[in-house]
Parts: sequence; C-alpha cells; structure tokens
Amino acid sequence: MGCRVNYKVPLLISALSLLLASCGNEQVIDQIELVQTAGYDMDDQKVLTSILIGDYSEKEKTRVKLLTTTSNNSYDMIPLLNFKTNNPIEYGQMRMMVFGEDYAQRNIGPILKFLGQDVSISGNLQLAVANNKAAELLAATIPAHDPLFLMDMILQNSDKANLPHSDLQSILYNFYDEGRDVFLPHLSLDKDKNALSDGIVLFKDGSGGKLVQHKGNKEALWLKMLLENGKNGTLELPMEDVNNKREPFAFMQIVTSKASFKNKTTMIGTQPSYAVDVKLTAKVVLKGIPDQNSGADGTLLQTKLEKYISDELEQFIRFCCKAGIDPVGFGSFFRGKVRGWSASEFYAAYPSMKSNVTANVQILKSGTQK
Amino acid sequence: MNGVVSDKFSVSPMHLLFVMYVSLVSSGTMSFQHDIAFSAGHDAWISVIIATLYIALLVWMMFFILNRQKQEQAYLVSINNRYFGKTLGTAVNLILILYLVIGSFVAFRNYLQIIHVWVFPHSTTWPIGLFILLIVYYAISGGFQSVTGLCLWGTISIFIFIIPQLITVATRLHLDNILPVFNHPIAEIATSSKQMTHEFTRCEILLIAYPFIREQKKAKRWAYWAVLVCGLLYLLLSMYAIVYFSQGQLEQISWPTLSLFSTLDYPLMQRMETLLITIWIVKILAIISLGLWAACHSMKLTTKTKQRTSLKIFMGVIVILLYFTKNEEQAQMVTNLYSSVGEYVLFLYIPLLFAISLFMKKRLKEE
Repeated sequence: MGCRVNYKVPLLISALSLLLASCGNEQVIDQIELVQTAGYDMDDQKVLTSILIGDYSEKEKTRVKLLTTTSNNSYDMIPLLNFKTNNPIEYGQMRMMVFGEDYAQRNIGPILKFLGQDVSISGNLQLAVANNKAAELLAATIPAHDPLFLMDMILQNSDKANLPHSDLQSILYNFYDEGRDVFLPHLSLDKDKNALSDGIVLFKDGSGGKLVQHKGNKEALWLKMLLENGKNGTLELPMEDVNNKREPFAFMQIVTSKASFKNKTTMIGTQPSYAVDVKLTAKVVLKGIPDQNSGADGTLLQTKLEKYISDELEQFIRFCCKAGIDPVGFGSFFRGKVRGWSASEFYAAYPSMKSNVTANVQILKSGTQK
Repeated sequence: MNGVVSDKFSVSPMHLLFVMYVSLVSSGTMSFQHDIAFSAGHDAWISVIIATLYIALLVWMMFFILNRQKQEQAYLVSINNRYFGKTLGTAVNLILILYLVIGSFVAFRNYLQIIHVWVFPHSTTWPIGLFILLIVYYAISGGFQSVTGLCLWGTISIFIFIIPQLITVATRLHLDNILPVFNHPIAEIATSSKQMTHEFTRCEILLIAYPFIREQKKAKRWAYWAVLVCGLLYLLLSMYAIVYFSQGQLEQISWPTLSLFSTLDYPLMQRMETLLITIWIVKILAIISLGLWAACHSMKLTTKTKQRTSLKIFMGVIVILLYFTKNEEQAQMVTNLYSSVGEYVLFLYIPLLFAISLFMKKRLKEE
C-alpha cells in the first residue's frame, strides 16, 4: 500500500496544481485597453466604428479615450483598432453599444446575430440607437469621465423613468420570437451637446431588423406600461383650462402599474378574428392639479385621467397595428391562446386586430397637504 | 458483510443515489434543451417527462433482472454469460465495455469543447484534458469507493450552484411560452422523447455497480430517487429554457443552460457561466471516472485483465480518439454513433434481458 500512496499523492498534487496554473490567462487592467462602449455608424458605404476606452492607470481617476476606425464590415473593429493602440484591446467588458441612425436604418439583424453568438459578449449588453451619429454621441460623453456613461443613463432611465427595460438577452428574445418585434432606447444630443435619452425606436423583425419609427418618451411609457410595471414613469397631463389661469399641463408620476390581456378572439368561419381586451390598473401621483374645492372633484378627475390613459394606450396600439410592428408581443400572446396560430396569418390580420383598453387608475395623495 | 463484495470496497445503499445520478445526468445538461426543442418546440418538457418515466421503467426492469440471479452472480458480465452463452456473452460484454469507454470520451470531448468555446477560445485545450485524465486515473485507482465519493461531489456541486441561480432569473421568464400545451403532434413529441433518452444512455451502470452496494434490498429506493431527482432537474432546466428563450432563439444557441447563466450579473462576478463551467469540472470528473471504472471492472470480470492495465489501455483509447476528433464535425460523429448505440441499449438490450429473465425463471423452476 505504501508504494501506492507514494506515487498517487504527488500525482494528485501535481495534476491539481497544473490545472490551476494552466488557467493563468490573467490580464492586468492597466495593460489592456478595455472597450466599454462601442458605436457603429455608416460612413459613405463603409462602417465607422468608434469605441470608448477607460484608462485606469491613475488611481481614482478615469480618463476616457475615443478611438475610431472605418471598415467594409461590422465585425473587424477589434483587429483594426489594435493597429492604433499600444496595449491589446479586450472587449469582454463591453456593456454598451450605440447604432447611428443611418446604421440602424439598414438591417441590424446581422449584427444582433453576431452579438448573440459571441461568448465574450455579456447578455447584459445595452443597445441603443443614436439620433444622428453614434460617434458624436460617444464623444459627447467624454467630459463625464465615465466610459459607461450611456449605459448608466439607460439603466437609470429604465429604473426611474419611462424607458422599458431591455438588454441583449431580451432584445435577442424579441428578435428571434416570431410573435414580437425589437425596440431599442433612443439617445440624442440636446442643444448644449449633452447626451439625452428621448424615447424608443421600433423595429420590424420580418425585414431583418429594420428601423421603422422613433417614438418619444410618452410612447415609451405606454409601451413600458403594457410590457412591465410602469413604476416611476412620468407624464405631462394636458389640463383643460378655459380661463387660461393655470399652466396648461399637470404632472403625473406612476407609482405602480400592471397590464393584463384577455383574449377575445372570435372565429368567423375558419378564420379567427383577433381581438384583445387590455386592462390596466395603476396608482399615480398627480402634481399641479387645481385644488379639489376650487373645481373638479376627485371622481371626475379620476374618470378623466382613466379616459386619457386608455385613449392614449389605444392610440399607441392602433399605431403599432397600422405600421405592422409588434413591440408589445400581441403575436406571442395569441400564440399561447389560439391553437394552430401561425405568424404569417396573424400578421396579415394584425392591422385589423381589435383592441379595447380599460384603465383603472387610483390617485394617491402626495405631500403634506390635507 | 451483507453484499457480495467485501465491506472494504462496497458502499452503503444511499450512495447508489449519487452513482445513479451521475450516470443519468451526463454532459448533455448544458445543451439538451436545444436538441429536444427542434422537434417538439415548446412542448419539449412533455418529452422530458415521458423519457424519465421510460427510464424509471428500465430501472424497474434492471432490478427485476438482478433479482432473478443468484446473489453472487447479480452483475452484468455474469448475466450476459448466462443468457447468451460464453462466446456471445463475451462479445456482448466487450461491446458494452467499448460503449462505456466511448461514453466517457463523449463527456470528456464535450467538456473540452465547452472550455474551448466559452473560456479559452484562443488556446489549446489538450493540457486541461491531460490533467483531467490524470485526476481520473487517480480517482479510479482508489477503487469504487473513491469513484462514489467523486459522484457525491459531482451531484452536490451542481445543485448548490444551479438552483439558487435559477431563482435569480425567475423575474425574466415568459410563462406564456408554455401555452398552448400539446400543440405538437404525438409523433413530434415521440421524436423529441427519443432524443431525450440520449441523456440517459448510461443507466446500465446500475447492473455493474450493483454488487458493490451493501444491503441491496434498500438500494432500490435510492435508485428511484435518483431517477426522480434527474427527471426533475431535466424538467426544470427544459422548462426554464422554454420560458426564458424564445423558440427561434432556442434553436440558435447550442448551450442554453450556459447562455441562461450568462445574463446574470453580480457586483464582483460578472460572468457567471465561466464559474459554472469551472465548478462543472467536478461533475465531468465523476462522469468520466464512473464510466471508465465500470468499463475496467467489467473488463476484469470478462477477460481477467488487471484493472490497472485495462485503465491504462482505455485512457490510451481516449487520447487516440481525442487526437482523431480535431474538429467539431468529427466529435459530433462520435457523439451520434454513441447515441445510436445507446438507443439499442435502452430500447433493445435491457428489454431483451428483461424478457429472457421472465423466461429463465420459469425454466429454473421446471428444473
């Protein structure tokens, strides 16, 4: 037995230690160029890629570098950018990607497929479309000293404002789901050249991911309320005021909301006639509303608000139906309810899909006033 | 001593749970959802249930076969010799031994492939492979008890790790994807169930490990527990894949379980799938060790070759196979070959042994 132990123990120890050592693919943060945000634009028929690199060589100070390159395709940015740096470029920590509007006008399908297959890219990657050039938008964030400025902006807008949540995983989910279309956050620059999140852009997957329409923050909120809890979303509420004494808009903030869908499809012969009831319940806080005793009482206000929200949601759904795009996922909803559902048949009938939205809003008191 | 083998080598009946678990949950855990979703789409989870029930039936058959033998002859090699005669029995034994070795190789090759794709895309994987084989050699030379110990860790490690993570992604599920249930024709669900049984192709290890179990009467319960646990794990993973990915997406990705983990993000640990792959090495070690141990032990009983000699030969076979399966297609070819032989084992061989046992018992009584 002694003989056996003699060779087995060193064997185990050497195997284990070599196993540990063979995983020594270590890279020190200040010896690599860590791409954290990337942008794609069209530049004449070529693809202009731009990246933001965080430089962490000085303690507690992040310098941000912007590098750009042009190529004939969207996939060789790393080798091309390597020509321009002293340290190797690593993109395993890339967390934000911006498409310029002209790039997104062409198909984003191929680049989405590419991102989905590359294991170095995290499923948490945020994608967005820039109003104009992605490179300009990236350049505008350099003074913030944060290579992930745009990502943080999108994340906080999803958590605390009107943007519906999205990341690479959910975008790929929508892209490959035949009953759903992709939407992305839309970013632009304000007049002082500061980055700004202003709504969503809607895509049509059927045509390989073509940008169809830009919608503002208000529509982003309607989409968010249909997809998830519209918590923290805010809205300007138009107020009727014949005497013109007050500001024409009040402010509404959603505390919590939930949309539920009910299938109301009827069969006409063998053809289903698709119809859906959307019921929205929400709790909101209002500011800038006239005092209750000086005009409209609570229930009247509530009825008006419910009508406003349901009309707006209805309008948004109608718009999607007419444009033939489905960011809400009605196709996927009916697939679960109607046996023998087929995508082509459904989307042929989609523009005439009937929808009926009812909103049930509870207005919460806010502030210290009684 | 209650068993056939002396207490020095045997294990308590509860350990059969771990041995059976490792033989049933193989390297396909990371990818089976992709394969079964091709034919049955969102109804693929039904095929997981059907396949698990079939395996439970096979386990029942195997216990039936074992109970029809004299206690000291209740193991695979002796059963084959008794049922098929000396020559044919030896041939069947040798085929099964080769099958077990290739099974270990398939698990090994799949794991190296995952390492190559997910962790070290730019470096060669053979050094890692070599060290895995060294550890496997160490484990098997410790005998059945140390292999069982490895199986214990192989079982526990994944459970500790996978289940909490699955809870974390629970907010991102699209539960509607399951509906409508039974939207696929029976034929498609059957194809998918057959595909699912490929995950269970090593269940015959029960017939080999059985003599090493003390108090064999209590062992049955643990084997069924193992089938139940595996069935639930596969069901959970398949359901998660169906409601986490859209149908088109599931057909695109090769390793749904790993892709599922790749969206998890913690402040200090951003790529959970890498950690999962690293922890998973324990499971892979257990799978390879158990398969090779079963092969070596059966080899000893068939041809009286020393276990250590046959272990070296089988390791050589694995290294040669590794050398010849340089690209993905060649590896896939070996996997496909293994799976189709596995189908014969599951659908023909074990039921045949069962049928013979029914008949043999009668003959014994007549005598």
